[in-house]
This record gives sequence, structure tokens and C-alpha cells, in this order.
Amino acid sequence: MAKNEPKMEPPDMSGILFPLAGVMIMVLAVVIGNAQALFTNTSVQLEIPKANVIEADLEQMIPISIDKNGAYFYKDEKLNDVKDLTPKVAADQKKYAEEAGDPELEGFQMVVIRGDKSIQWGSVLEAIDAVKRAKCKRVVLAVIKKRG
Amino acid sequence: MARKPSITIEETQKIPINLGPFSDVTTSLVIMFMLSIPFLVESGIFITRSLAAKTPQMMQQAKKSDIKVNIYLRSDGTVMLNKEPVDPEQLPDLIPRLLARSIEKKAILTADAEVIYESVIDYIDMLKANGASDVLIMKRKAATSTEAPEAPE
Repeated sequence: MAKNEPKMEPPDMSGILFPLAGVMIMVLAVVIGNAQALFTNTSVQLEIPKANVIEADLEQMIPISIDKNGAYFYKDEKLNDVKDLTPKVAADQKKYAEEAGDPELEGFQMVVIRGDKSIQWGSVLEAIDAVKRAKCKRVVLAVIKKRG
Repeated sequence: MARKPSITIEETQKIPINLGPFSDVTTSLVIMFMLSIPFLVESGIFITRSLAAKTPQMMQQAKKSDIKVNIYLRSDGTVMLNKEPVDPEQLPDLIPRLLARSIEKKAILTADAEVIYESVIDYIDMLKANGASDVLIMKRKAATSTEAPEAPE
């Protein structure tokens, strides 16, 4: 009787798994390629200076970028003047406190200044001044951890 | 006479595809990605505010403070430590000794506006790595670049 039973073969999954593996590799490659943009909340590409000492993980922050030509960016928006930073940062800080439901938190959202490593220090100082005029209490200079 | 194909279409469809190399490559990519995250993702160094608006009271407080390290980076490449020119290579030895005499272990860093940002970050990093609890970023007036930096807040 057992001889008459139909022989069970495992289903051939290779037709499904082959494209699935390809898609997985593609997705992984895209994630690796865009990792920096995913973590920094901005798509402005810069050469960030490197440092050994790391003090802050950048989460829920307001990114301000300065590219190698000295142009200022608030998130992804290019600004005509560094003075335009102050009202924008102040508005975001107010929004942050309102969302948290605690007015005392105004100014406590982290502001990250992302400067290209080749720019002049004066450009960064102007950005720090503009941010401080918005009464920000937590200002961070973006760095990437040095290897080794 | 028609040549008989060595493998028919039906036979090709039955050949199992070896997914081992694919999974190896994917696993390697995941591991490489995970290991490289610290070097890809931006982190930050906290700074204390520059003095856009200083007051006489702040100046008085600064004079009374116990800040023992005051570094000034000039645009010509000269590095001044407590108003004296110093070899940058000696700083990693000097800074811990000076900070040891300070209670708050704060350091002042001033730089001319023309100094390259990367070198300022290098000095902030060096100060923090050598025990400075806080690096006060100072602003210099362009016309008085040879004078002492503005006082910390």
C-alpha cells in the first residue's frame, strides 16, 4: 500500500528566492549608500571633520549645514543670509517645547552645526552666534569618529 | 539531422539554484554595514557658546575663574598657549599638566576667522581628549586680533 502513495517532493522555491535575494541585496546597498542622509535629517552632502572624542549622538536635532562654498543650509533649505537662521531655529525650538507640553524645554532641542572641513572658522562662528541668538542651549559641532 | 540540445527547458527549470553565495554576500554586506556605522554616522562635540553678547559682569567672572588653558590659533599658523607661542606637538603634554591645576578643568579656544574649520576641530578634540571638561569657544574682534580673547561667559 505504501508503494502506491504518491512521492512527495519539496516545493521548488528557487524561482521565488532568487529574485528575493537580489532585491534584498539591492535594498541593503541602497540603505548603505544613504545611511548618512538617513541619520542626519538632511541631504546636504559635506566632508565632516573627524574627531576621537564623541560626546553626543545626534537624534531629534535641528541640522544646520555649511558647505565648502560657505553657503548656509537650514535642514535642506539654502539660506541667503546667516541671519535668517535665528527666526527659523527659534520657531523650531518653540514648536519642540509645545509638542513636549513643557514651555521650559524651549531652547533645549539639540542644534547641530555641520560644517565642511575646508571652510573657514569664521563661517562656523557666525552660525553659532545666529543659533545662540535664538536662545539655543544645546549646540553641537558635527564630527565623524576617527578610525583607529 | 537536427542536433539534440544537451539540456531541455524542462530540465533547466528543475536545476536547483544555489543560494549559498547570495546569502554569503548578503551576510557579509550586513556585517560590514554594522561595523562601519560608527564611522558613517555623524556624532557631535558639545561646545559652549561664543560670546556674541558679553556683559561686564561676565568679564569679572572670567577673571576670577580658574581657567588655566587658553589657546589661540592665529591665521598665520602660530599657536599661542596662555599668550605664549607654543609648539603644537608639545600641547598634548602641557594641557593635562595645566588642567590638573584647575578645578573646573575648562579651556578657552580662540581662533582667527580665517583658520580652517578642521584644524579648530582638531584642537577641540585634543583638549577634550586631554581632560578638558568644557571647551569655551571665544570670538575675537577682527581689528584687535593681537589682543587677549574675549572673556568666557
